Amino acid sequence: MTFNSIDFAVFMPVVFFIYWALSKNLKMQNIFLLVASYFFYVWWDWRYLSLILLCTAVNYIAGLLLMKTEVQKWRKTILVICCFICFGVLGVFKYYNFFVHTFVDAFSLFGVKLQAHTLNLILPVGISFYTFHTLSYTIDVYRRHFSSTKDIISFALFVSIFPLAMAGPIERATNLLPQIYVKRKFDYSQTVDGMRQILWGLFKKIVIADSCAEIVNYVFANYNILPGSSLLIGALFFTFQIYGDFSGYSDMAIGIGKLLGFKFLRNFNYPYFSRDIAEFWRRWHMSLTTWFRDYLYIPLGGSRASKRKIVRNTFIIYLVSGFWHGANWTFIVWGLYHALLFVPLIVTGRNRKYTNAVAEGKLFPGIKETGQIFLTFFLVMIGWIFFRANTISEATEYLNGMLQFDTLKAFYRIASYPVFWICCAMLIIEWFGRQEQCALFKFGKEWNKGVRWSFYYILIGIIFYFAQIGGIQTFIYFQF
Amino acid sequence: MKKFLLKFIVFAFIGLVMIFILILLPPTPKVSESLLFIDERKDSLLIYVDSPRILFVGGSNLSFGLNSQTIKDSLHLNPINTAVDAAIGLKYMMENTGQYIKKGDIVVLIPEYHYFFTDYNNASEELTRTIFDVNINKIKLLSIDQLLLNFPYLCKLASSKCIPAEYTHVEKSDVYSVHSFNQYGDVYPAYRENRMHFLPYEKITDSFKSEVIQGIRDFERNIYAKEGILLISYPALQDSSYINLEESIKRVENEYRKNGFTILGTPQKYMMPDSLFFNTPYHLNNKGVAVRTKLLIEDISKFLNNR
Repeated sequence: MTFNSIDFAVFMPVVFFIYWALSKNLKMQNIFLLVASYFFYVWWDWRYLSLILLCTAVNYIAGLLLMKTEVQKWRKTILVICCFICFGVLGVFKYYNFFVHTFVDAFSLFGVKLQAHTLNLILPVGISFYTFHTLSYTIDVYRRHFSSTKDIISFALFVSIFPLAMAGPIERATNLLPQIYVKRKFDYSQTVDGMRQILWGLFKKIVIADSCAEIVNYVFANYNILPGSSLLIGALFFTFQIYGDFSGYSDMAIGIGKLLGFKFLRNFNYPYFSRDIAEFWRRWHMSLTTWFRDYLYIPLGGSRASKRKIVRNTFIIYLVSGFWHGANWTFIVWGLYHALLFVPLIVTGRNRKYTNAVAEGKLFPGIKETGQIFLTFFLVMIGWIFFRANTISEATEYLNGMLQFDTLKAFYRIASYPVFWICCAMLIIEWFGRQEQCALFKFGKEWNKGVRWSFYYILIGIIFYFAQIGGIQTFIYFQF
Repeated sequence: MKKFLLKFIVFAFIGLVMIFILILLPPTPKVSESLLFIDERKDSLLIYVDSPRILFVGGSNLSFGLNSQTIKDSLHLNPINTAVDAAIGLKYMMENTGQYIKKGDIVVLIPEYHYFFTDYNNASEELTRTIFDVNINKIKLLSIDQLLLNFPYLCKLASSKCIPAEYTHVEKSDVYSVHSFNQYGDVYPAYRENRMHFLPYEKITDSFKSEVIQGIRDFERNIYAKEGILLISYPALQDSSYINLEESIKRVENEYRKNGFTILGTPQKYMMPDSLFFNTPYHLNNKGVAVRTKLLIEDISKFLNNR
């Protein structure tokens, strides 16, 4: 059951009405939401539930033990054991086969032939998300930033709350658990904002991402026979696809949270309007970036260390971030590529130059800003080629294929793709709504009702027109 | 909450009214060219072709896989190839054909294997368009479940009528067009010549749907009530796809036998080399059609001779 499926269109209203009908009894409301979340998860595969239950139990017990123990040595041991179990599960399911193959390949370089004994495991959906999501709680309790909870229902709900279960945003206990403890009140404007955000998320997923996917899949499957212009078009559309797919999912998750009275962390802030790579990473998958910042980068010394150490820490963060995405060298190279783009900014002290909104208070960006936005977009697009390719050699061949005179034809060929114009329309809407958390908030509030509703009907119509109802495309980030 | 619900209901109601108005509009030029509009012509064949008749019911494996002229010449029966597109669903195909059965008709049902592993009350864009764009009177052939399941496609159909490209970009496909069929309902041979790239089917992981067998039993009962005969055969399938689907194919074969249907041939007999296919593992090229038609004539003749 994905947010763009018919099953979910039935599931969500049922949950919404029962949930608010129980609003007088917080405990019952939380129990109901927990059951609904488990049901949502079991819909994929009941076997996955055991891992989420294990993750819940381990972190719940660790939290209780951490609160009871004052001895630092024991506290550290508890945290290490908890991390070992959580990362161990993640490692076995996600990385075991990768390590075995890498080990065998490494030995084969020295002429030693080993036999690879891999495990035939299915990767549980969302495992990387809920592992990080849950560990943030235990680490915060360990750091005494947050008191552990004895309320197992609230904690289990925090771990498995269904809008976040599959692909985040990676929540923090400090943000979400306090919201679970207190009675939620139905807020009309928050609910309407939630509906708008879901609508915009559906548009980005179904109209942008799924339409781009058809072209991208064809181009990446035939990259060795296609001309450079097609490869550039393929890379460009993948850049839109991954944004539409993941930010669309995040918008839907946050919007659903609003319908249930929650305020989840923001995950995207118009990343393709970034003026440099540092700004891009402050705007792309923000919940993961801040997780790594708080739980890895800062403990390693953060930005207060020497420049040499900052550079080292940056490489570590991006390598880990790449590896988090998948057990493949392509993701590691993708992370390394971004680290290499980041380092010059650190060395020159310009990594926090752009923390304000782009073209603040202006209708359009200046020439310099426009150039910076296009350059950053181009650099990010090159990185996505590694992200999308199956192997590093495939990515390098793809890039080689783009180094042709023919590639320039892409600039006029692209105009013949209707989806390109839809991507442009999305960018225009997002540009004008960039001050808001969701671009549609701007378009919803200032118009009179007739125009506003007409706009929504048009969006819904376009979504249905593009929807592949029978063969719904899953979300790219579910595999992580 | 009340304010939200009220506004939501008003918003949804206006939306539903718009959908209703839009589906009443005539089909767009783009859709009017599609192969779905052959349904009316195939119905005319079912009404007006005289006995002795042989009716072929199935998905595109049949529309792209039969030479009805050869059948007519060999068996001296009047053939009608009712097949249009597999996506319309087996339930609709059987119920639609069932209306026009005449005394003495021989009905050869050749369902694609995938039907047995998908919902019998299927929903699809093709089915929705066949009802709401081609012939609204056929809405009676849909169950309530099907109507509900087809609602998202109805929204899609309604929205398509507001899309300018549906009126301006009318692509005239040689193969998937209302003009692609000959007088018996087969896709013209000239349109099946050039081989296109396609991948074999992957293993079916969905469970077997016994209600499909029940549906075939009901179809059989209907045919016998009208003094016709039902024969069941197997679709022609690309060999590499056959290997991937073998487990599911065996299940279908066993179910046919268990239910005592009159069966023509075996699945293996209709497994064919890759070179005989055109653009999907079920769509035969001209050579493939000749081979398959010959095999089918052999099996039907055997049945007729033993009768």
